[in-house]
Amino acid sequence: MSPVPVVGPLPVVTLDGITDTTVPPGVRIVAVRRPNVPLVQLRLHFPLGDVGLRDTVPLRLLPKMLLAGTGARSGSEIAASLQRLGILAGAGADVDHLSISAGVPADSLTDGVDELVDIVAHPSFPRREVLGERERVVQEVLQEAVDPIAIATHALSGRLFPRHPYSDPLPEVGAVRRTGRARLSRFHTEHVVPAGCLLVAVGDVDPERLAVVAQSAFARFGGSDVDDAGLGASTRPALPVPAFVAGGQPALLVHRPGAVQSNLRVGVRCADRHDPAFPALFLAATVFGGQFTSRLVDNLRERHGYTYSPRAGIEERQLAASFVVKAEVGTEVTGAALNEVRYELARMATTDVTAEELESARRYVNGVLAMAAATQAGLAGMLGAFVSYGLEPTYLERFTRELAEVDARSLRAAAERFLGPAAMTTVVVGDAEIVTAPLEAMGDVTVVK
Amino acid sequence: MTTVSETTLDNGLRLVLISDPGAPVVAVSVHYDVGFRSEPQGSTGFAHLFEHLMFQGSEQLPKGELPRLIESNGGIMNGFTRPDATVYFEQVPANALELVLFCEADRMRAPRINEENLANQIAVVKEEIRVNVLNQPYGGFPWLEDLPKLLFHSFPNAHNGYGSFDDLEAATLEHVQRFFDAYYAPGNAVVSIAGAVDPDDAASLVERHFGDIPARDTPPRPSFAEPRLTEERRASRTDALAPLPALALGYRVPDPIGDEDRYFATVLLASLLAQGPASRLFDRLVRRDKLAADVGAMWGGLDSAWTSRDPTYLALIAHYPDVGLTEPIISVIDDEIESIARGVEPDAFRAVLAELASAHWMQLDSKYSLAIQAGFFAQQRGRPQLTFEVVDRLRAAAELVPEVAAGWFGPEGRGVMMLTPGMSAATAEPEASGAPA
Repeated sequence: MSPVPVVGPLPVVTLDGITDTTVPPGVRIVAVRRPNVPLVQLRLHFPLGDVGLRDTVPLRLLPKMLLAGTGARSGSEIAASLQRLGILAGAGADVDHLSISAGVPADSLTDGVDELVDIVAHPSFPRREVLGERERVVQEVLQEAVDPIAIATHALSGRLFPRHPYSDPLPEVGAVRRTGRARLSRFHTEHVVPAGCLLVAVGDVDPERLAVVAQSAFARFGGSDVDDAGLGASTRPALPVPAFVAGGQPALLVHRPGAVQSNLRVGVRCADRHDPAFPALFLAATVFGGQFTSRLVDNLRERHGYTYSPRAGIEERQLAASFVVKAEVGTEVTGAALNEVRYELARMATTDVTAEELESARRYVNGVLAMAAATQAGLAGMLGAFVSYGLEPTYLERFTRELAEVDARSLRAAAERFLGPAAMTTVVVGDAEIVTAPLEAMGDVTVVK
Repeated sequence: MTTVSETTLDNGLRLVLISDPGAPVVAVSVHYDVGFRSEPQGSTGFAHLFEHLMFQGSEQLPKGELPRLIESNGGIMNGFTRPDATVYFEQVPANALELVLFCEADRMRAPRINEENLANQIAVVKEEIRVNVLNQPYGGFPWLEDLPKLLFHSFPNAHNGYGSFDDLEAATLEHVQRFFDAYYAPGNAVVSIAGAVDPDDAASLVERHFGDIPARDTPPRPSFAEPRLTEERRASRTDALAPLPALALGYRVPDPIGDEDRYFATVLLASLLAQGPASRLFDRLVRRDKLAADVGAMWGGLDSAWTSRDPTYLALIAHYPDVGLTEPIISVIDDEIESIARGVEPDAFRAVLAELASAHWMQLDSKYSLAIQAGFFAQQRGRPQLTFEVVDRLRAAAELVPEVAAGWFGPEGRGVMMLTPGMSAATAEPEASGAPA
């Protein structure tokens, strides 16, 4: 029998050759040449400013409308044009950004950037398409309203970010059907502006040429709808920083009659990447539930068989981060599973992790980041996220160095500050007739029918 | 320069090596030639349960040690079960290749499973089925049972690959040992390696770790062939958790290997018809006629066109607001298929191929998807280099697309599965008692 092979030091992430320039009208371009395959991965992020809490319908409709008509072109023509260029593109929006993500063949880059910028700049909101896309959003909303995982996600966001757009309430069907062309067009004019936009490009690309191409594409952004005064991102109200919410509220139980599983969510607002405690907290979250070899998986899955895929991690947004534990557990073990989650959280907050756990988590995180950074799409995704959070393009190198400095003491301090069960907000989606009693045995419960 | 090589060890284990200079990353996948189709009656779900058990410990590695070794060296790992294969994979920094090979060889030599671990993983698999099927709107639709039961008659092809709770609970250590002995012989496996490795070094590491695993008999693969349907078959069921109807049309397709050119044409047809926002069905059903909220295609092998042998199928799936639209939607689908059968403009093929080429390049940029793809082509076709020829083969098959549309995608040989909602969409509350089955 041969011994277990020993692996030496792991390769570290290096981000050589990243360029960072800003071209008129204020478009930041972060680009790096990685010609692994003959594609360029593009990410466009348009900060939306304060979208308000009134309703989130435009966030759901706008990405669809971008692909439904531009200038004189129909949705069919846009789709055909992107396909002819070999572009795989998607559009999405959250409270922070309108985003376009696209894989573009290197030899279609100029046309591709023109197309993608045009789609964002000049949606025509054709009346018939607004009606059609609105009904598709209605169907999405109806599906989310009964999807247990979506119910749990909305319920937790509502508790972590009360009265803030990050609470991400599910819109009412009536509100979707009332959102017309005029409102969408106004939302677009007010919130989608080129100044402050971030363009990330990773792949078979010459960054200098890209800057020229992008500047020329963005020069046509203004069009006739937006006057020059409206171009400055600084003139828009910024999204307010969400107020901090103290823990210790009763657990929220959302009743789903007959549910064969309960969706457990335990979460808390926590340090973001601008906080010096973040690297230690990140490793604490990894030891707790960020990998297969974690305390959460070992306990809930491998020892108790309560659940298939329990996990925990830090969910990041522009202005706030939260630590969230997720587990879909059998109805009959709901109380027992929550008890184990709380026990493991308390253990993180009150005792040191072992040297082996710390080193193992650190090597895991380093390896996963290095592997993600080795693909065009992985690196483009990370650069898009980090730069839009206000971090430098080479942040990943700094983060790696900061991870190297985390010790058991700083990890414990971060866990004590953020991971203790007393500060956590608990949401359970499940059959209240069965799970209320065991949950009440552990503390107050508010049941929502 | 990327190179592909293929060798066979003395014990029958096949090795595929894709050496690709670039970032110091390597992926390994191990493909065993056993899947849902090989499960005996009374043992539904066993191939997938066994996949879970392969993470529970092996000759030199106690429970938990394999994941710990991989993750603590910066890697990721997982496994999945399909009709004709069970696949385990890792992606790690390049200098951890030998560790991965050691781990995979150790469990190919002898998994170490006890009563406690078996009971634990039966419980875990039941929760997996609950989260993905029983507690989820549209869970398992239409791939788990709906279309297999309509399109096939024999147990191997038609049964539920996740398995019934009764069958899962009946699994014993004796079943586990018999299954391992029958299907996990080195001669029934392919090891596929892709990434920044020297091919000679990697080959000698494979020999060092796998070479001493004794050769065993490999099971003959029975024929799972079934005749195509001679008339349309329809069925419907109510999903107590779903708020809106859904429809799946299942079509048997040409033999992926025995009728390979026509199968490539089928893959191209699926893209032209139902994959992405430029596809004909999206354009008609969603964008123009506004009958459906979405439409897509799904392969019988689940995640890609390349994981299943014959017999298999393609599903066209739509979600839509009102059961009254079912027949109009089917009629649009038939229209578009008939139009393709009459002929397709060369420009339309060029556009679809441009899109498929980009998707292909994205896949090749990920080492684990590269290793897995080459591993499937090696396992089922003995031709891992096909990984790099897919787009050319699709282009060459364009001229067969009308013939395939006419010969395989008519109403007469398909299965139509309708899912009706058990939730009132207006109130999002259960109608009647609402208790899920």
